[in-house]
Amino acid sequence: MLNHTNGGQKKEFRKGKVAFWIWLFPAIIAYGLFKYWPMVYSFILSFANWNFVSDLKWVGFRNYVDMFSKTMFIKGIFNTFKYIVYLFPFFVILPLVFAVMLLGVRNKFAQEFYKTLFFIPNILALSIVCMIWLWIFSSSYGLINNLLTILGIDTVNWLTNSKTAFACIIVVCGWKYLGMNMLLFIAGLLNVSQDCVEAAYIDGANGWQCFWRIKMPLLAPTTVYVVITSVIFAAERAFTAISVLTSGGPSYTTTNLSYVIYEFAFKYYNIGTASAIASFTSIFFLLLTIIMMRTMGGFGYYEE
Amino acid sequence: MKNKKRFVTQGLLHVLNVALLILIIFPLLWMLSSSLKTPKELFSNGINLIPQQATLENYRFVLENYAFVRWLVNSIVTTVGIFALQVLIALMSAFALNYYKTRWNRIMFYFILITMVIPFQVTMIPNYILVSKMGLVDTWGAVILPYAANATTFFFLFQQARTIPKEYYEVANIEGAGSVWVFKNVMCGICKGSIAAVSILTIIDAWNLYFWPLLVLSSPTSRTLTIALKQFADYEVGDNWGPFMATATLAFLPVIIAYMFFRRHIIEAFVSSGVKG
Repeated sequence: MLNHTNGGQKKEFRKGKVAFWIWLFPAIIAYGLFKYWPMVYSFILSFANWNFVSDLKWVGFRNYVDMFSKTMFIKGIFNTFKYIVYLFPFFVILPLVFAVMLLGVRNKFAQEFYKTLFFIPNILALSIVCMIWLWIFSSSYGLINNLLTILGIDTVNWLTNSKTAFACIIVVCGWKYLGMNMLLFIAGLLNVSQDCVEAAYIDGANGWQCFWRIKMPLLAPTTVYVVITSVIFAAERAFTAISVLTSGGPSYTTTNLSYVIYEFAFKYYNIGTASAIASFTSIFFLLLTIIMMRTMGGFGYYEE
Repeated sequence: MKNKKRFVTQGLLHVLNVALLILIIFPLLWMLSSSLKTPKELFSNGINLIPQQATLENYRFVLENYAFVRWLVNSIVTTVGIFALQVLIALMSAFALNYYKTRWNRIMFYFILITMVIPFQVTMIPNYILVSKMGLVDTWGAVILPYAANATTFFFLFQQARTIPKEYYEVANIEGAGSVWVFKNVMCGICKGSIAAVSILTIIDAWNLYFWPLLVLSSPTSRTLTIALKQFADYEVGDNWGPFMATATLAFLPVIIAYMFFRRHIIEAFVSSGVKG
């Protein structure tokens, strides 16, 4: 009896309001200061003309109208979609093929050995890795051009040629994240219940049918996740690769939305336009999140 | 017959995997090889992986002429700072939202979670203005503070904290334990595995940070390793590739050594963040 009332009282304690806010206090400060305030501030700045030092001049929706007449911005949107399309084979198809290839290895030790080494590029800094590729792609004495010279083929200025620069970025990013995407597919494939697979074999399915009809549909969540990361990568995280390898050039062929914001802000000091494009990008991400929630059945559910 | 067929398939699979392995590892071997070459060999048309005259000259040059140790210290301090602040704040809020029951829980949960979809480039300009108003430009604080808030880290830990049975809290309460005790012994104790995983991810991310430090750190002595390397790469036509490769090798070394020791945990951490997150 005593225990019961005691328990009741303590339950009240878990409803304690003050303590709840004390535990959350650091988070409120951090998120308020470095996430919410910047978001609001950025939105405010998108209605002004400003270059970090001049006086703020309010211009209404001008920035939003003007940005559509900037070649760089239009190219940025276009290229973001181009990145999504071209990254697909490197982020989804090849990793899946290689995952199946690796799981086929019977020797567990060898499998572990391959896996460990395949993963190494993922833990290294994208920026440094890109700089190493800068040297490999280098027009004078770079590895690839040296190889072409030996084979007697004309050399190419890989990163400054508008025909090859985009492909270079795709290759470097694909190389960097191959191990990660591969491991996600391996985890997905191992999660596929062996019962389903065995049942299919008993029913007379061959290996090929088994893969497409049984494993692929069950891999759907992994595939969706990898696709979403590749979309986010195309719009945002490819930034580092673009900035190191090509600086968005030649003639905007490799720039994406996030790089465009950076160029307007820190190269032309046109904060208004940069902020307007930032708002546009936020809406793009918001739509993406809604699609993500729909297809994945909601992430971040909260049940009492 | 069947054995023979299996032997052939396995052999073929090994050949394919080794080929892929060479493709993946080669750029890193090329980095190592370039760092050991003399300028004369580096700037030639050769494609040999093993240097004809291996030399440590590039390493000596970097260590003597540049503030390498300073860069290393900057990288370590900012990494530790980001890791400590980000994980602690995420843990505290994950705990608050699981342990207490108020009508604000749901609102506060989404208050944190929604920030996951704000792209970095949106907060970049105002955060830059903010840290410069705080007088922090060119200091460790400028790099660390904006990374205190990370909803992905929070969500990862929150998901784990959710799995703690509520009865544990009840029992702790009946025993008269305060919330700090419950946080330390129940929450941190049970979520040990995911705290380790999230720590690994946070540390790797912080160590590899590039763009934000590039914006807020300007003087040569305040640079972290990743952005110090950029100054070599900037002189693309010059003869700095040797020292660059030496520095890059030195920067990768601690990461790769740590990876060799914790590889199972690191791979698991990455995969679980992908599957759950």
